[in-house]
Amino acid sequence: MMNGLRMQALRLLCIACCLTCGIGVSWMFPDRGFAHPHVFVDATVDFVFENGGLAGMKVHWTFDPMASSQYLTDLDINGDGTLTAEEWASQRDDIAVFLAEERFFLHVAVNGQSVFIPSIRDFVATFENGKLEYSFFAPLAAENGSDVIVAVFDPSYYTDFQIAEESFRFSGRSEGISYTLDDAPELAFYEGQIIPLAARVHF
Amino acid sequence: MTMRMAAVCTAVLLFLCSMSLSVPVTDGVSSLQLGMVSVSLANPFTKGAHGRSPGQAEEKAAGGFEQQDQTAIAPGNGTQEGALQAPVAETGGASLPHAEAGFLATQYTRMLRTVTVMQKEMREKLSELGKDIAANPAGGSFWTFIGLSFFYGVVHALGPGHGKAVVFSYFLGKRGSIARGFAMGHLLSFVHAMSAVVLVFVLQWVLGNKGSQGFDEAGGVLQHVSYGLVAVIGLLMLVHALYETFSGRQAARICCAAAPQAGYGGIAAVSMLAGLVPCPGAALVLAFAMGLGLPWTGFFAVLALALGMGLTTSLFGVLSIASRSALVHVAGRGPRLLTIMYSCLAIGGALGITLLGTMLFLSARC
Repeated sequence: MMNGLRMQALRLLCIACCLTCGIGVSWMFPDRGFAHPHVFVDATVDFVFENGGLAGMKVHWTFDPMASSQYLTDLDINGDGTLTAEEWASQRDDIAVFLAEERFFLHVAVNGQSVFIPSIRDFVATFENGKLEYSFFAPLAAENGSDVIVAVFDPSYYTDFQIAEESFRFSGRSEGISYTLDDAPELAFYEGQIIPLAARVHF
Repeated sequence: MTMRMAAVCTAVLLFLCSMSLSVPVTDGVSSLQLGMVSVSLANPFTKGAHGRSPGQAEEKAAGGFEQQDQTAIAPGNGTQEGALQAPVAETGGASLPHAEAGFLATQYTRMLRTVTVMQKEMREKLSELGKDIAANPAGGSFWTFIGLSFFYGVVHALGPGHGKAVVFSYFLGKRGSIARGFAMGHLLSFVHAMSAVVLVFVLQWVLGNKGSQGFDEAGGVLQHVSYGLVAVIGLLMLVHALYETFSGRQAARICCAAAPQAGYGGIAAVSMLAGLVPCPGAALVLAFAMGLGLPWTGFFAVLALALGMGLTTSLFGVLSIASRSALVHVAGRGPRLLTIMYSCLAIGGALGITLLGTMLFLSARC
């Protein structure tokens, strides 16, 4: 009888300790959000060359129809089912700030050095035929003779960015560019379980 | 003799823990570094939308940039006035980050790529069918929609998450049966999907909030509660398993019968708590159908989806039950060895659930 009571007390003590520690520590850790892909985005990246060097990347995202309609309810201020230029203009800058926190999902390295893209321009969103599309220009200067690695992924894996060979394009220059798209284990994310595809470009 | 036994115990325990936590297919959590990865809330795409007041957005953004200063690999002397102003990207002095690709990550990624392409195609088909039903309610699209939702569920649950690791660990620790495996997988998925349904209905009908921000916020809280409770229940199981082992009750029981089967009460408790996290996939399907004015179609589609996810999750339970009985079989029939085996399995399974709950709890933020 005594023994049973003591066991009970011990259990309660354990729970109390666990909860206290958990709540205390949880404040210090960053959020991870929900796991597994819930949103699918077709991404394209267009490398724009100017005056012999790389000037930046034109990035285009197409959301899957379900995510599109869900996000339209966030963006469509007057609720008429369309996204007008005015509606977009009033929220564009705020959205860009939040996307900057995610590095615009662009994981870039130039000559082996990681590059941080602080800002974008020409950020446009459209909603047509049930599909939401975002496009923007991410400035990235690199001289001739550089090696550039670009991977598009969401480290929290809430969103799956779908990338294929033809997702990467080149404009402003047609010669002297070598490009391959393959697995980049060095950029593995989500506890090292998911290996993104990375474009390796030399020009 | 005792030394040898202790060594065997430790080895089996280690094997179990590493199995339940590192095999990628069991879940999205592998190593103990969980929670140390980059900062990311759900849905970053419309976070700055009008749902949030401008003041809040600024405050949030400022906080975010502060964090970036500490965590970004190469912030340089980053201009921080706004994301749309600074003209050119900056190269910092840091070299390329070198992440460690997990064991089997390549194979898992390949499998996942196929799975995500399938999911994406299914989602596209689902939205076409949804529009068909809205345009022509008497047509046959309804059943195709429901059927496809089921298959979407099966495939969706193959991705990381969805409590497969919890089910796996649970049945390593306790003797199960196929019926019990299916009960747990289906109940967990059902609660996982219904939690999303309740949240979407409450947000949209009661609060009139159609945006995704409300769901993300409420989901974050539920996620926290759920993981915390899973950790607590794991700890209780652990205490119980340790008590059984060291009080000699396990040994006493082995003389007379096999280990007791997992009780349905425990199964229900664990799966309900672990399933409390609302499934954003289910929420998207439901919100989409509601947007088309088809709430009931959406509801039945989510039921089918839950059934599909339940099937996948159950299979992981059955896999675990099979591996457990294989281990026990290998251990032979000696009462002494069996006692050790059962104790180790019980402790390992409970430890797995505790660690899973704790790590997820720690890495999620309200």
